[in-house]
Amino acid sequence: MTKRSSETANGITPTAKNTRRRGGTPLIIAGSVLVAVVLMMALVSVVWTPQSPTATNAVNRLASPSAEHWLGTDGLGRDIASMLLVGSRVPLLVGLGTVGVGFAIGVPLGILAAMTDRGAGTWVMRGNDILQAFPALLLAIVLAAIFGPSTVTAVIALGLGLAPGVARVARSGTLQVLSREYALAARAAGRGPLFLAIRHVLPNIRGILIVQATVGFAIAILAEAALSYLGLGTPPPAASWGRMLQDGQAVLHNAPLTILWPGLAVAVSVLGFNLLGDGLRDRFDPRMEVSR
Amino acid sequence: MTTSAIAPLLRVENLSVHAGRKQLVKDISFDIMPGERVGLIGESGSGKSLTCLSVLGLLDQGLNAQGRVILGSRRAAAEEESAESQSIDLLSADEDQFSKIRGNRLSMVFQEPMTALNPLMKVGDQLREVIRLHRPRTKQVKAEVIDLLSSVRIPEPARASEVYPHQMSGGQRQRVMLAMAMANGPELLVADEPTTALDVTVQKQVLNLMAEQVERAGSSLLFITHDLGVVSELCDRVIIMRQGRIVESGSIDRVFTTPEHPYTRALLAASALETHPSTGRLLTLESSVETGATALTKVKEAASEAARSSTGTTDFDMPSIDHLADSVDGTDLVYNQSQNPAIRVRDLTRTYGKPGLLGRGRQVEALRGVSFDVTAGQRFGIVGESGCGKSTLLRLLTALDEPTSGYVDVTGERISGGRERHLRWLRETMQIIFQDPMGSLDPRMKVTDIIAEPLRNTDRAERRRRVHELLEQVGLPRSSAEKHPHEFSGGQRQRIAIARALVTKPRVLVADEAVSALDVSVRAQVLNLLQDLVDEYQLTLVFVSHDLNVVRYSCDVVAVMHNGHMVECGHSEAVFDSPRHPYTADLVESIPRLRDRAA
Repeated sequence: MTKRSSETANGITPTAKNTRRRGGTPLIIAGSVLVAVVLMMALVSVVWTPQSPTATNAVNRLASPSAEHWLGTDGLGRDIASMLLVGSRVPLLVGLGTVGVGFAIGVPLGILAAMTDRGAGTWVMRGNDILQAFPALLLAIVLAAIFGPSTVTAVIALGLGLAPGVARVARSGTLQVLSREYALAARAAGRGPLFLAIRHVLPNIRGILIVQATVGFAIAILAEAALSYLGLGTPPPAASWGRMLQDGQAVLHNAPLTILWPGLAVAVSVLGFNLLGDGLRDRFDPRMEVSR
Repeated sequence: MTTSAIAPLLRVENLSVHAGRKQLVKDISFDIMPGERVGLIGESGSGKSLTCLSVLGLLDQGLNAQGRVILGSRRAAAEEESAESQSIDLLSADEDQFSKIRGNRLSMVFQEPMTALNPLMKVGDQLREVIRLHRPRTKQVKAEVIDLLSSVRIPEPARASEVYPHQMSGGQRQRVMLAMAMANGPELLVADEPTTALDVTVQKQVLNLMAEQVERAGSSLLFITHDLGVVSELCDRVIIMRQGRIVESGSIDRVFTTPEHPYTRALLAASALETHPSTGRLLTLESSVETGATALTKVKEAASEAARSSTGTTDFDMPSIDHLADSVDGTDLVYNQSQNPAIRVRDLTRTYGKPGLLGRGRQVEALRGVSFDVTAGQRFGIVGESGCGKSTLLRLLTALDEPTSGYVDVTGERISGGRERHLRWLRETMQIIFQDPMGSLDPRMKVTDIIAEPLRNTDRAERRRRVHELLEQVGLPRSSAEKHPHEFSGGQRQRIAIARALVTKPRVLVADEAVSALDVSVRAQVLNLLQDLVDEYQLTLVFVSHDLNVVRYSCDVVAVMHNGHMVECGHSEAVFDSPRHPYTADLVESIPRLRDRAA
């Protein structure tokens, strides 16, 4: 470490102060725009939709796009545009919930594992390995089978699936922080482990955690769509992109557009969060200390 | 200009390096003659490394070099008009041309031999690759590799060629780097701080070896360093850079005896740790050299003199200190014994690792039975090279680690084996200053929070008051409190670290290589500050360093450590002037000295 920093001071790379590396900016902008679009859809749907997303109309089934039905109707005569708007809420909620659950479990465990590296930490990480070996989607299916399909079950299952990865990242970040002299200085100043974790570790691993969160968000959206498609996610009649895909499958040959829109919506939102995550990683990862 | 009998090997003309709009190297020009050894000296940010990277075409992306860097035509190959031997402008050379030149006509030794060698390749294979690359028709490469290794005095060269870099010591790795650099008899060897990461005794060996190799191959040398002592031992000519400009250049003897530029004078004074004749304070470098003010500082001289006369130099009743050296039979001596010491250390050992099954585990004895006392108010220096156990000792002294056996008492109370909860008093009584001013300050915290970190149970107003008071004492403006560490230079950051250490008004201050990462001029300032504050707070100082000059200046008593033992201890002057233990003698002998040649 010392050598690296003295090398920097020798002018091989200009000081962090003058030219702070601001990598990943185009990715962050592109990602933010896409995420903002999805977010807007969800917000708009709360106050207004072109038609009722749940009203069926047996006469007007599989209608082509028109002034009344912007994107046409589905097999039950429901307005696709409205369903698409309303359907954006569930993935966002699931993403938020999943990341929340995953971080609430993963971050404390990861930090704990790092700070008690010789004792309890080893056991935490081995337990983590076992959990990680278990596919999150499978866990979700099992939980749905036991408790019945619901958004909450999906969130808990996906959150549990996300937690081991988060714990791993948090642990490696914490180990890095603990190896720095300021962590030693805090110990020498008589500060306990809790203070160390909250005042030194968390702020310094914030960057990599944010990256994890965006990536986790994208995974959660995809997984929610998959679960709904399997009928294990959000139950009807609440609209959801995954369920729209499943409904559309039955009429795929007659009206391919019915699955184009939800498919596109899933793709765009996942792409958005992934781009954002990649951009943030470029900005945060290379050198944690210049990211402020 | 007509071509004289000897054309320069390397001619740098009006070289500038830009990073965006910022000019880092400003229009510098110099020549290097065939066989000449040139030292390029400067502090952090002076542009010396950028200069050498431009010569090698290794500048980072985003940095832009202008001007001309001409590598002269190969001396022996006047008739042989191959592209390889013609004179060439290195700044406009493409990657193809460079790959023919680098490692062949130009070669480089880096600062950190561990990272410069490929950790996954055997040493012999790495050397073989360099030879094969530029001389594909070489027969008997293996023999040549072994020759090279033995020429850099690696013991058992045949065996050494079969090991991986991590199995070698730092000094050995740097020798391998040197062997690689010299493998194809380069015309110019560029060395960027090649011995900075090494211990003094090893540094001396590597420097001697480098001089010998360069001489034998008839190469020129461009040696980049911040250490004036090293340059004076190795080079013929010296170029001094500051803020991207050359401020002075000339023969070593001339520059070091009659420096013309005030900056050079100041640099010389600061590196020799010269003290002001009347105040006894270190001479430092004013940041305003360029504005024409004299470089030798008069800053705060009057003030400090007043401070000194009012407090008086700390006159503790210092017991006479026996100058003891380790006896040959190895019985444990108690060094610097005293009745009622601030720190008492007895039979301290620390062993890392576990004895594995069947005795196959790896055990490292970092500390093998150390006993000494530090009297209250004493300035106790501990010197030794890397791996001698001084860092381990320091961690035990500060209760950041537990000893395997033995104990440490601080102000009469046992700290070894105590639980962290019972050590609260110690965390206020004893404070530490770490080596790396970048790493020891949390980049996410504001300076005020950093300084106040050791304070417990104090209200906001009191914390604020203490922080401001300390900022003032360490010579930083109050506005610093709301800034983050990256907004400060290395020396300023070390001041912040000192402020943090003093915020609890400790009685014992432990400094771990506290000035090693700083430039010489800044080093003098920080040492002066430290001395003032030690006086003012009447601290007991334990100063750990590998730099013997610094310890000699800043400590009353010095202990020398070697292989986990303390081998000698006594008054600083006595130990350094008449060392009793052969290791101390060796250590003292190895310090690069400024005036050796000039005298």
